[in-house]
Amino acid sequence: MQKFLVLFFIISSVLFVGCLEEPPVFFDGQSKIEITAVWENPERGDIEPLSFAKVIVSSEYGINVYSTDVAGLLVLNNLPAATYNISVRKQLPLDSTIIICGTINNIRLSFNSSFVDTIRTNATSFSGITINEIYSSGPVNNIFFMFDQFIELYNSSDSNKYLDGMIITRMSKGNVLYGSGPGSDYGSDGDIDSVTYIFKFPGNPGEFNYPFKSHSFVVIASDAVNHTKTVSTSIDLSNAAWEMYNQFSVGDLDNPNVPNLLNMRSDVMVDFLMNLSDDIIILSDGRDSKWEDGLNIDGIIDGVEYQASTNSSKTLDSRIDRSFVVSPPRYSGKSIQRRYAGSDTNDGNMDWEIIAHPTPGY
Amino acid sequence: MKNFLFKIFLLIIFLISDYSEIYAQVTRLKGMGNLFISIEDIDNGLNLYNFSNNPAWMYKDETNAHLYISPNYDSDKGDYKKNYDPYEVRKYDLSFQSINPLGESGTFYGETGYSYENRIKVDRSLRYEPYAGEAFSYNDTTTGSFNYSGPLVKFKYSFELIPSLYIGAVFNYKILDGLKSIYSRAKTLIRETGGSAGMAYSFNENFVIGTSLNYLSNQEKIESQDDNLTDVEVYDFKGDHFSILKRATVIDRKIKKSKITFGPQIYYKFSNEIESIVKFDYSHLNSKFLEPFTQGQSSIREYETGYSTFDYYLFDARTKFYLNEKSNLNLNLSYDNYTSWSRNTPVDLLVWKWEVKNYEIGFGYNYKFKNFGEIGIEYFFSSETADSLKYIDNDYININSNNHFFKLGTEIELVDKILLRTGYNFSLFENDFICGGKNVVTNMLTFGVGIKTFDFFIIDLYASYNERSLKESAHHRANISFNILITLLKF
Repeated sequence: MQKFLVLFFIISSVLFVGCLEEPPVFFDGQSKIEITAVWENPERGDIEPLSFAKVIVSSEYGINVYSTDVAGLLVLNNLPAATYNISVRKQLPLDSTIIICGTINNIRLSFNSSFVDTIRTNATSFSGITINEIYSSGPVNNIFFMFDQFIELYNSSDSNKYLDGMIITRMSKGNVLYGSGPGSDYGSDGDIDSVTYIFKFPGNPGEFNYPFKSHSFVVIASDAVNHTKTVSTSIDLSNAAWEMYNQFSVGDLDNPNVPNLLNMRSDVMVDFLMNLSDDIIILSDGRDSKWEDGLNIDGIIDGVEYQASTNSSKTLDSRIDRSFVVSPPRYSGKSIQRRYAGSDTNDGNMDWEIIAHPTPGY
Repeated sequence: MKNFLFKIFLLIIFLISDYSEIYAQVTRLKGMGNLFISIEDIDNGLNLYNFSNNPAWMYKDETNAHLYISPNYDSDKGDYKKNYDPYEVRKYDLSFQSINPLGESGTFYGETGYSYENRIKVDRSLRYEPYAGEAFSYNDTTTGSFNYSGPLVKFKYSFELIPSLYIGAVFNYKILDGLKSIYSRAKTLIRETGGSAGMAYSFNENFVIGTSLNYLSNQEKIESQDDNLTDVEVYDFKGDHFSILKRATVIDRKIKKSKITFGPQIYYKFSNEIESIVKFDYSHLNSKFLEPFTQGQSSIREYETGYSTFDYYLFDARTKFYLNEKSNLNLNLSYDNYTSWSRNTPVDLLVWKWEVKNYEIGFGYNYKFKNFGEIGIEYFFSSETADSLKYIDNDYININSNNHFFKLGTEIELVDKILLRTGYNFSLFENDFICGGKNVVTNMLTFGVGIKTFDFFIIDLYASYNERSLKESAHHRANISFNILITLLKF
């Protein structure tokens, strides 16, 4: 019996010691970012602090918006270990078409680390046409309905623009045959490849038949009809300014009251539909309409890549946009639009945001 | 030899088990104001089976065959709760427990039951136990209700291996199937398998030592998929404030827990007037938070995103003084220490670390009236200390709480073999470590009826009302409980 008890206590001691585990030596949530935002005041020619500017901080833990203080300083303490991107931006009070912005990307913070830097911001004018909103996710439904998609453009300039001959293209992953992905410059020949759909406004570049009024929106619907008659959670696009119409398709809807963009690819028989959660949309001036060898970058007015996850790989050429927009969930009825109408700093992640409901034309 | 092998076979089967069943007979004590230390009862004796759940001693403690049938209802409702707790919980369950002494072959216990649980207004959390102490949780974006239901089975066997050496084992298996009523339509499957083995050696009637080893494996699988085609979004929280958003058509999460508990027990009877029992338990638990590794369309492996570990020490001692035939005095002393830390596995950094210590002393007095009934009173004082270091949340707390717990109860035989029971509990907690309230007051009324007029069965009824409130605010939470216990004496 005594031997049994001795054996029992030896086994139990081994179990007891074996259960003990040591915690990690270093702590999460102990890192720090300290940035000072400055800009060059053209009136004084001095470098001045960018006070009360909006600071957008993104990481795998999401996007948070802060503000610099009067000295242009922002201090963020107790940050968890992650890779951070920071964008500082502020609209000029006297000229709303100019935004001052600066960015620092790929700040890797591990345990107990500090990042201290100064962000020099530059003035960016966004007086022109931009893609302002993309609604591709589809409404809440259980019948795979997603035909209420639209693209919204905004003219942020003080003068009227003209849409004659402009082209809207979709460059999707499903069409990648070569290169580093859709929207990339395969062969470094100055154009981006993998055109899936290409639809064109009527007229030719340089003509003045289809005006786009200053500081106004234009909605281009995939189908300009009242979709709420099909799915109640959808939207009414019967008053859209333009409609994508594939003249080579036998079944594409055509609202006779809405002018059309027509399909330039005779081998494509379907309507202009976008992927619900990841795609690339390009607006170009139409001078390069030969889509087979890609679109010339010089003629591209704006381009947006949206992806479902922050972990996705970006493929759109960085000369068009340096990052991508994180899209809303599929069939959520949510949309993406620019934080400020028309503001384009070529940094999609920072320029765009998810909104709860689509806002066509406003 | 065959008999011996059969017993060993049963032991091997039962080696992975838990022995935390609710003793049915406590219905009587609950009706008397939860007087668990002062009132003597068939399932409340000072022995290794009743005090420390050592299954080996079941052979000595359970000498009469009986079957318990017990339907229960419990409702807990109110706004005094933590963020992710449900506003209201309604539980319904039905259990059958059978005890069969088989003479020299041992004693067999079998239990089966089914429970249904309706958790109303759960704010975002997808976990069954969002506040189990780990730094990780899974949330969606809606406040909705969860329904959980499922069966449990439990078997227990105990016998005398050699003279004065008793062996026992338990096996239990439980499944809970849950579903959230709205987006993100999370489906939960909780599977719990456990087992334990115990051993007791009786030197004589006055001195018994024992030990038990318990292993528990628990897995909670959560699958979110909305029936409206909408992609689901799940926030993987690390700490209280930071979360990583994941989005997909279907999102799977898994929490795996394993727990091992080990502890010796000693019973000693000093004289006919004084007896004592002491137990020491050590438990180690770890929780792994797992995500599927997806490559293309398939996910065949899982990787760990978080890890938590818990260590628990408990010392518990009770001494009973038999003052005379009518009354006894009880003294209870306990100390427990609970420590935990959580790790953010991908970066191998410490997220949380906390420790809770609790010292408690309790007294109980019981007086039996001649041919009339009995009355009991208990008082507990505890001093708790919590040291919480939430590094990722920059939240550091060191707090102490002195708590008072008072119980009063009685059982009266108004007419022949019909017993009425009632009780009152009052407690004052200086600081509630769970929900964060200060000066939390709990008032509880209990009622019970025992009907023993039949030869073949006994009926016990129990009802209670309990309300927790804060002195400085209007938050409160109320609990209503009903229980019927039918004891079949011959079947």
